[in-house]
Amino acid sequence: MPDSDLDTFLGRPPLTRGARPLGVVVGGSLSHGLEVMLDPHTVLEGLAVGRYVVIHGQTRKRFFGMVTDLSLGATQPDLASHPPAADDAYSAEVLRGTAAFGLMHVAPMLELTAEGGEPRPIKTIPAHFAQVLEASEAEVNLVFGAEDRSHFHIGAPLEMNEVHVNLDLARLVERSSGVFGKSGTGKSFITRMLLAGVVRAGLASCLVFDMHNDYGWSVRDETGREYKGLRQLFTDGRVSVITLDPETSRHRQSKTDRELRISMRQIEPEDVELLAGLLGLSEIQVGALHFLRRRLGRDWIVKLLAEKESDELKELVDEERLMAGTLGAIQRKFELFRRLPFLQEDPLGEDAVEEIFARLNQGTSVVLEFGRYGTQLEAYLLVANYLTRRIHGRYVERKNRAAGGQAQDPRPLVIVIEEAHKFLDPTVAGHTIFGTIARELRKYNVTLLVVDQRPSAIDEEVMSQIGTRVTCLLDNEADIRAVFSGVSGAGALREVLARLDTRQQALILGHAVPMPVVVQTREYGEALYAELAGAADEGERKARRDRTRKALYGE
Amino acid sequence: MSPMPKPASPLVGRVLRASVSEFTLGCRAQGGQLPAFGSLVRVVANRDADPQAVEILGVVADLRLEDDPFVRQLVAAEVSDEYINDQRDRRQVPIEVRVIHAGFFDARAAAWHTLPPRPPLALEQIFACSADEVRRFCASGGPGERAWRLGFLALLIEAQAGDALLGAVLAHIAQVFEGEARLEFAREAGRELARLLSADVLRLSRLLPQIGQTLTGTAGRL
Repeated sequence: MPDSDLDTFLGRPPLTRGARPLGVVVGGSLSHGLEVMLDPHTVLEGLAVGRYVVIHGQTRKRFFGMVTDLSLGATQPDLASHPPAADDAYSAEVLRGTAAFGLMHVAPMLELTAEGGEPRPIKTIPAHFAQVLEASEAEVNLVFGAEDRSHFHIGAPLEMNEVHVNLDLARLVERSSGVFGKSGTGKSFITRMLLAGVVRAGLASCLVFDMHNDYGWSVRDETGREYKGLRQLFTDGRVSVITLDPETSRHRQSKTDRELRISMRQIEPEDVELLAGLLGLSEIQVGALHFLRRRLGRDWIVKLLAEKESDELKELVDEERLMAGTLGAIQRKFELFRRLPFLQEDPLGEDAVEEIFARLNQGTSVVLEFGRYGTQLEAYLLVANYLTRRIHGRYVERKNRAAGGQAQDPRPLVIVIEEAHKFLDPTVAGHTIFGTIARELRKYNVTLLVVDQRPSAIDEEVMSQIGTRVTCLLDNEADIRAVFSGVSGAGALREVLARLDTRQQALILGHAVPMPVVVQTREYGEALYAELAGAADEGERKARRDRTRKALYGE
Repeated sequence: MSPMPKPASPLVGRVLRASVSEFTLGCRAQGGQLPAFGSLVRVVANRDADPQAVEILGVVADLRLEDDPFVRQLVAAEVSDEYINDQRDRRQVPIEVRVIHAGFFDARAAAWHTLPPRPPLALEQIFACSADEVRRFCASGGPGERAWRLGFLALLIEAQAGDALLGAVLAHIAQVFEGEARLEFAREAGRELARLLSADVLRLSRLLPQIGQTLTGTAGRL
């Protein structure tokens, strides 16, 4: 019977005109994905993990999935013992795709109904011999939605340059998120692009602890090409750059808004605790810090670092309240603070924490450039911990007041930390502010964006709370495992992750995307600048309108 | 669709005996006009008697020449070549040609690759298939949208056709296509055989190179 008659008889849904199936479903399960036998005409080498396919079900449903593995199969194991002769191209060609065939493993993710509407997570799978086709641009667009204020174009699916993968920024900032990848895989570029999207959308303020001076002002890649920083992308004041090292900022011709100096008198033992591992402080010595703070008051660090030992310290040792050895060790380890010029006994000027909080709460994102101190992990940890603890404290206070109707909700805040495993190591994550923020989700409108190359070194509980994971190439098994912790059906995605290109490719999964997606990230260059400049102009016009309205009519 | 046109090729012979899966026809030598091993022949339906009659297509699977006492005498006797040829053409015992059913054309000339509903009747006329008939039986659509119809291979394999017959049938059919279409036929027919015989890897490893060499004519190079 001719095929068209059969279709009519069986009521098969017609395929997209001109589309040729890649293969048919021959096995699998909802939990482990589907096995697809490739059509003889499908060139195996033309497929790749990370591509999208659509499976046409019996009930006019379409199942949207991702290719997660490719393999070779044969109808008979004997075939491997009787391969065609090397010069017998004919036998090789006809056996390929018939007795010997390609297999594609597909992880079905979403269900598209014939009636249209939002794609839904799948709860069933297509039957045997359902036809599998490459997803069309229209289908991919349907899944990833249209670009708008809160949906930011981050890149394109593999081999689909015309299709935009749009990240839901509102959902990105709703929970903590992470950018992971080996060194040199483009984490900073992706992070900068994400931050640009968040700033443009105005969905949250960002506080970036910019260890390597990557985000605020221009950076150069290894070829010497220069890329704009956030401050240059948003010239309307939506991004402030604060520096710890004005000298380096001057040399880099980086425009900064102010210099950050921290008073030693404001440092608390909890600010230093996170550095215990780096400074080599024992548990007893950490305990002694709290004792010293209590006995010496706000000047405890100044007194510990004083050239001439104070009477108070002598007294503590004499009274045997503190071992001389312990005190000596703490003083030696605190010598580090002398080498950090931004730590001063009595810096002049207003309270930096209060000012940063005010900027963040007004919708200005703050990039804190570390200059040459970025290479000193102790400095990075100390400052990030110091500021985050205090700003988080203010957010908690503001949020509680808002709950009581005495203030407005604080503006959502995203805190960006690099080398995140140093803050979220399993031994410290339980009692640091960063672990707290990651665990409490958006309770106080503060979330983290962690940037790290060793996700396996981050506390498992914290990792499980990371809502959106943007992952560049990772090849360490433990790191790959960590990235997928708490993700259902992650096994199939591991192959995808391990085979990303070393540059400009990332696997995005979690809260901000409807399904895991491998993207060729968009070029961080003129087109993006122009797009953001347009948005910035609009933002500037709006700010001007607001100022005029305020001037004319008051609050 | 209109019924299959009357054959233009000469009469090959008439049905001697038949079943649903095959028939045997009888014919004379007729100066070397014997149907070739592996070629396709067609039973012409008598539409005057039955307008819905189907026209069975089959492949020549064997040709058998039986002896008789007269032939034995001639073999032993000293006779002229002219006499031998005359006796060869006018033999009373026909040459028997075994034909395996490959499918049929229905009354609307649609090709079916299944066994016919009824065997042919005794003494029905058999003609060699023309190139056009072979093309209509094995393919539909023109260049660029051609769909190959290779279901007849399953019938042949079911009828225990050997490697030599499969090779000969495909070679005959391939002749009616030219250029890229011939190569495409070679590929698709090979794939169909690979699917049908996938459980018999040894046979495939023997058969495919042989077919490849016959069909492509370049020692298996496509």
